[in-house]
Amino acid sequence: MLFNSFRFVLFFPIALICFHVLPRKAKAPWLLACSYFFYMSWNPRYIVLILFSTLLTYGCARLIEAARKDGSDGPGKRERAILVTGIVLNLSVLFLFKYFSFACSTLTAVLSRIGITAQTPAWDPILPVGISFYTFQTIGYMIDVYRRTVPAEKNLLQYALFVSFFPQLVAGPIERSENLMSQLRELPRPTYEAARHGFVVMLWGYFMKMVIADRAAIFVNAVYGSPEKYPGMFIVAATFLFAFQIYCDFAGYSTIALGAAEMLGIRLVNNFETPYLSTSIHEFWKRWHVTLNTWFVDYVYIPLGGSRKGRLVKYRNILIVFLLSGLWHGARWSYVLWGGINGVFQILEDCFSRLAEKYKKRPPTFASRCVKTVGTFLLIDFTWLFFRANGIRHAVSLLRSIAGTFNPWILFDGSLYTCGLGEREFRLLLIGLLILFAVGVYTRCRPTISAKIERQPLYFRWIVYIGAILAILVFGVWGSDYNATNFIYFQF
Amino acid sequence: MADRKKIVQRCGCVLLFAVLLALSIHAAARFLDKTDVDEKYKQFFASDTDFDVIVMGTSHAYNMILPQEMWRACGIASYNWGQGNCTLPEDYYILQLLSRYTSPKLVVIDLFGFVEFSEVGNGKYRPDSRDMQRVQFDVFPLSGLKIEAVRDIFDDYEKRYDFLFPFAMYHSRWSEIKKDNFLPRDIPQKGAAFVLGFYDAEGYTESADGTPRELDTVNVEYLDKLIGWCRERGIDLLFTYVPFTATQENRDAAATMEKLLGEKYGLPLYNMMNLGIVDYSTDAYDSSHLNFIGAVTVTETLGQFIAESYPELVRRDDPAYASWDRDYDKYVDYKISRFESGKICNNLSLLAGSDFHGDLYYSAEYDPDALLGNLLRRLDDQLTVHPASESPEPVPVSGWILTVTDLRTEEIVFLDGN
Repeated sequence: MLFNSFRFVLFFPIALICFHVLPRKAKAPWLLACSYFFYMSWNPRYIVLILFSTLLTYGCARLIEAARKDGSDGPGKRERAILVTGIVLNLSVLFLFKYFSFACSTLTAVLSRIGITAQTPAWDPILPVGISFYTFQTIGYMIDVYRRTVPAEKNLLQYALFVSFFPQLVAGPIERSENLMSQLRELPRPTYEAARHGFVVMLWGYFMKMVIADRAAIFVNAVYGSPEKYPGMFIVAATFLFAFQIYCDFAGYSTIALGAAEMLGIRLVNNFETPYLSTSIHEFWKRWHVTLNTWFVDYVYIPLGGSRKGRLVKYRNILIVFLLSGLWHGARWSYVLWGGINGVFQILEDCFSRLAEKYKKRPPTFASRCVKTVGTFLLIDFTWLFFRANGIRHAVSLLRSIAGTFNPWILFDGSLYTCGLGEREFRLLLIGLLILFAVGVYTRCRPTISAKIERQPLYFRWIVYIGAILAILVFGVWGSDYNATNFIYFQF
Repeated sequence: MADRKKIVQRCGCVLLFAVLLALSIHAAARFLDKTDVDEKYKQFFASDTDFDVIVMGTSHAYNMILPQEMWRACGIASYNWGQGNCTLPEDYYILQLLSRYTSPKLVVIDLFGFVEFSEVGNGKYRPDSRDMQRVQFDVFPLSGLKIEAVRDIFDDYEKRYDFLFPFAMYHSRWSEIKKDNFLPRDIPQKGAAFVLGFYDAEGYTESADGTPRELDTVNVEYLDKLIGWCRERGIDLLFTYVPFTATQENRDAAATMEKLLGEKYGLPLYNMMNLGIVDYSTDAYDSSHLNFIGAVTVTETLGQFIAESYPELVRRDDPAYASWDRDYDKYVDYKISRFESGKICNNLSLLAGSDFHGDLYYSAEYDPDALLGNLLRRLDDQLTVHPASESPEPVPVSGWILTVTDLRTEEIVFLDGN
C-alpha cells in the first residue's frame, strides 16, 4: 500500500478517524493493528519478519537491562554479548533477504575469475518492504539501551508499535527511541491545528512525489533505458532531472510520512532539509536523509573513533560510513561505488577546506555561496549517475556517451520532448522544479510556508488547500495514463 | 459545553471542506473528460424513443452494423454498443447497464472473438485492450451493478479503481486538451463507426465449411447468463457472424457457435459469412473488417432479415419516431463532411447507400487502376461515368472530376478533380 495508492486514500482516513474517536487505551492497539495491516498489504507472509525483528530486539533489550549490574559504570561483557547476538541475528534476516543473492553472485564471479565454477543457490526472494529501515531502527534502539541512553521498553505492544508505526515503516525516517517511543507511550491527543498542519505537510509531500518525482521518472527512465537512442546531452539532462526525481521521491514520501504522523499527533524527525541548497558536500550529507546519516554517525562513525584519532583515521571512517551507506541503499556494486565517490568527495573537500582556511581573508559573499551551491549540486549530481545506472558498466558507458557525443542543441530544438514527456508535460515539470526551488529558498530563510498559510483567513486557506489538491490530482502522475489512441479502435 | 460546540463547529468545517473539494473535483473531471466517448453515446442517452434493437459485439459489430443505414433501409430503430475487442462477459453487464435507459426488444450480438479469444487473459476481458472497454463503462454512472461488473470482469485490483472512478485516468488529459474538445461536435452514427479504406483481398472466397469443436470456456457461462437474463425479460436474441476475410480458424469458430447455440439453446446463428453479399475486391477495409461499402451491404441485409422476422419493429411510419429522420439528416451531413479532396476511392465508397449520386467525368487518356475499375462496377447504381466533354468544369488531361449530389436537395455537395 503506497502512500499514493487508492488503498491508502481509503485506509488513512479510516485509521485517522477511528484513532481520534477511540478511547485512549485503545489508541495504541488500533495503531498497531493499522500498522500491521498496512505492512501486510504488500505481502502478508512478511509480517513474520517484522514480528521476528520486534520480538528479537525487544527480548535483547530486556536481557541487556537485566544483565546490567547495579553500580557499574559501563556495559559489561554479558551485555555486549547479548547486543552483538541481537545485532547479528537482526542483520542476518536483512542479509538473507537483501544481500544473499548479491553476495552469492559476487562470490561466483570471483571464483570464476580464478577458474572455479560454483553453483549459486537459488534464493532470490522479493525484498520485504521497509526491512532496511526497521532493521536499523531496532538496532539503534538496542544500542541505545546498551549505552543506557534509554531504558528498555517493558510494554511489548508499545515496542511493537515503535517498530511498525505505519507512517514511517516503509521509507523512514529511521526514528530514535528517544523521540518516537516516548510519544507513542503518551499518544498525545492531536490538536485540530496539528492535524491541519499535518494535512498541509502531506499535500506538499504528494506534490513532490506525484507531480515532480513521478513525472521526472518518465524522462529519466526513457533516457537511461535507451542511452544509445538518447546519447550525450540527453544523459546529462536526465541525470540533472534524476537529482530531483530521487529527492522528490524520497523526500516526498518522508514528508507524507511526517504529515500523516502529525495528523495522529506524532512528530517525526524531518529527514530532508533542502539538501540541494547546501554549499558543501559535508553540509549536503547533514541535510540529506538526516536520520540515516545520524544513525551512521552515532552507531558506526563515532564507535570507529570518529575524528578523534587523527586525520587518516577520520578519513578511513568517513569512507567506511559512505561505503556502508551505499550498500544500505541496495545490493549492487554501483551503490557501493556511489557511496565511495561521495566519501572521497567529502575527504577531498575536507582537505581543500583546510587549505582554503589558511588563505581565507573575507567572509563568504552571496555570489560565492551561489557558486558553492551550484558546484556542490553538480558534484552530487555526478554521483547520482552511478546511483541510477544499472551497474558499474552501464555507468561507464553513460559517461563515455556524455564525453563522446557533442549535441548541446538538443536542449533547445525540442528534442527533449521526445523522451517520454511531451512539451506541456516537460514545461509542467520545469514549473514544478521552480516551485520546489522557491519553497526551498523560502523555508531556508523563514519558518515553513504552511505556518504562513495557516495564519491566513479561512477562505484563503481553503482556496489554497483545494487548489493544491486539484493541482496534485490533475497534474500528478497516478492512475492509468490517458492515451487517446488506446481508446479509439478506428476513428469515430 | 464550549468544547463540544467547538468540536461540532470543526466537524462542520471539515464536512463543508469535503463537499467543496468534491464539487471542485467533479468540475475538474467534467472539464477533462470531454472526449469523443461522450459523443459516441450522446444520441443514446438523449433519445426520446426506445431503441428496439441493440447491437453488441466486437469491432465487427461496431464497424460493420450501422444503425443509421438500418433506419434508412428498413426503418428499424437500433443503437450500436459494439466495441473493439469486447467480450461476451462485458456485453452481459453492458446490456444490463444500458437496459436501465431503454427497453430493447431484440439484441443482436456478433460472436466474432467468442471462440477465437476465449482463452486470452482471464477469459472475461482482453488485457491488451482494456482502455477500449472503458469507452463503454465510463459512460455509466457509478452504481452497484457497475461495481459488480468491474469486480467480476477485471482481475487487476488497482486498475479496478480506474473503471469505477474514471477521473483516475482522464485527469492526465490536461496535457493534450485543446479548443476542439469544447466545440460542439456531433458523431451521429448512433454508436457505430464506419471506416473508409481498402484492402487487397484478391483470391479470397467465402465458405461456411467450418468444423465445430467442444467449447468449455469461461465465456460460455456468461452466454448462458445472458440468454437467461434476456429470456426472463422477453428480449429476443439474434447471434450473427458478419462477413470478413475469415481464416479457417474463424470458420471453425462460427461452426462451433452454430452448434453450441443450436444444441444447447435452440437458437440459430445468422452466419452472414456464406451469403455471398460482399465483394471483397471493393468492400474490405483490412483482413478483419469491411469498409463503408461492405458495412452498408451487411447492414441492409441484416436490417431486411430483422424486418422480415420482426415486422413490428419497423417504425418507418410511426410518428413517435419522427426524430429519427432528423437524426438521419444529421448523419447525411456528417457523411458529406467525410468527403475529402484527392481521395477518389474513399469518396466513391461514400456513395454506397442511397443518399448521394456521383458523376465522374474523366478524360480519354485517364487510365483507372484496378481498384477504381472495380469500384465503378460495384457502385453502378450510385455513380454515372461521363466523358470529359460533358463535364461542367474543364477536366485536366489524364485527369477526372467527381461531383457528388445530395439526393435530398439535388445540390452538388462535393466537387473534386485531379
